[in-house]
Amino acid sequence: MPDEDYGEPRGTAPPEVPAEDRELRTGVIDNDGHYEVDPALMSVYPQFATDFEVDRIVTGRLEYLYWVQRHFADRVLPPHAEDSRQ
Amino acid sequence: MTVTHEGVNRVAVAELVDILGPERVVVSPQGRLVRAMVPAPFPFHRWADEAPELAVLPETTEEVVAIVKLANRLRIPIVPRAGATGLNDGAKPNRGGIVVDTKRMNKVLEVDTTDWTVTIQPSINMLKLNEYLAPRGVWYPDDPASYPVSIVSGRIGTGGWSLLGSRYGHVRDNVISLEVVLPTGELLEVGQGGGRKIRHSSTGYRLKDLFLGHQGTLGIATQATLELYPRPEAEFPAFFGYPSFDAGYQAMQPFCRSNLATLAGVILFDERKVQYLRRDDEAYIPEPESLQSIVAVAAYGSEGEVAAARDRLMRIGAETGGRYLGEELSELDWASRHDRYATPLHGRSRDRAVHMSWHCEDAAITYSQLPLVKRRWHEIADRYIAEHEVFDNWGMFFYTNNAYKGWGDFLVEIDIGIWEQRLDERSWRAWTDMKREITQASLDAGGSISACHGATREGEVELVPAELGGQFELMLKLKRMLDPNNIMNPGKYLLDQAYEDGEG
Repeated sequence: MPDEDYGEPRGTAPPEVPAEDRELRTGVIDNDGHYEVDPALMSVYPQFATDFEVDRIVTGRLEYLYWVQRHFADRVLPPHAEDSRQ
Repeated sequence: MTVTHEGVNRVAVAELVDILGPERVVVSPQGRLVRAMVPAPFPFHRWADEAPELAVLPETTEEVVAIVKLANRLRIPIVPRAGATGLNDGAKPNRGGIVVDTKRMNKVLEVDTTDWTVTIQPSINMLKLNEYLAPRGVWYPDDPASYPVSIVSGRIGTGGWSLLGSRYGHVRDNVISLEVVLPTGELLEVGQGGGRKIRHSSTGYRLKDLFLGHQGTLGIATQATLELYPRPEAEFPAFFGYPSFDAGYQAMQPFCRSNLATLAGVILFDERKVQYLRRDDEAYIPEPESLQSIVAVAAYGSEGEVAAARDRLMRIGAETGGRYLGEELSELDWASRHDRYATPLHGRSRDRAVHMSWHCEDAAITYSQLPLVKRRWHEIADRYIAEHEVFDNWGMFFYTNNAYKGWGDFLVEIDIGIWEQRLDERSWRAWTDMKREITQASLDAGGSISACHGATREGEVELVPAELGGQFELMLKLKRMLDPNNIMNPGKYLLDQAYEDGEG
């Protein structure tokens, strides 16, 4: 699929690891072969996050939304004609 | 006639391997379990009971024909499955059998920049399709809340609604023609009449719509020819705040009737939705408590047209007492409308813990009935929420629903947070009872059970005959005629009734 306007996919997929060799990380449960976040953790508020993580999440979200917008139109017009701002 | 289904036996598996090769016949528990569910409320506590016996991954029309003929011959239930992002349950099996996962059928077959069509294998995602089309200056405008993750064939199966429908139409308007594998394995080309690129003719019946929204009960689409549009040069989104729901409701009409050809959609947020978004700080920029409803509008088209529309929409906002909420909120929240699956699948509960998943119930309701339906739906939801901590009320949206125009009926949506990991039989029963009451309230107001999701689930499907009347009887006859052995997604839409006449 040509991707000239939207950038190439980044990174490579991690190597496949047999399920029996995987160790469950803290906070993850094995639900009949499906890995899920431990429901007990999800009742914790506020959840711990460093400033770096918060900044990364917010920046990533904004970048994503601008990227989505570009799929729908070449540009977004401001609320007033540009020459009326002068 | 009584139809008895058989399970998937060794003979069937061997024949499927002959058709597809072993790597495209999925029998692993994980491969089957993930194809048992959709984002609609799901009974996790009985997950294993909902799984198909196997899944297959065809890549060509010929392979789909062979699979369906095999299933029809051996009387094995067969369930078409595309992106499985729908908020109804058409893509999940009710009776085990074979899930036909069509996601590998995702090739662009032809882009016609003379007659402005694109012909595809229909299991391509709209975002990916538009990335392919963008260098050619053309665009396919279907824009559901699941835009980055759903795929065209699923949109065909659900007859989906588009956020930009008031400007560009919905799926029914933009699928010009289809190639469909019928439940007997026959191949049918269906469109408007004439060749597959004809948009309008007056020869014969309009049968195309039969295959748009059947929830996988009448066939599997293997090719589609779609409408193309010039890629929009510009968009203008604007969000206006109002001090009450009623003020926002009254303001909606002048926007919807603004006589702007570029108007793509209008959305009204009620006060409960604003409250929810205010507490969910990942999804919203906080606004003062005096703001109790929001009207969002957007226009798309050539830059000159959109600039003119912008001026009129801003004037209407001011004249209706709306407070413009700023460029950042307007642009980014409108952008997030193209992908509602990114954030609200996980939402905050009343105690602000993050453990609920988002579900929305929808209906088509005329403008005059919106306040009544809003009040009734909230009353119903709040009554169940008071008794069951696994539910929460995340407010309501009202979207323009009419193709190519902003007035008439509206897609009404109430978002219910559900702590799915805590569901049990008692709370699942409460969910379906709540759903049934919401559905009945829609019908009492002269509305339709669903504007865009379909109506096949427990809690709503029981009321389909009441909504459709004689049309439901015709549905039964058509189902039995096209699917004599009831192999295509059996158990959906009460269509088993088509086979309950005591013969056979």
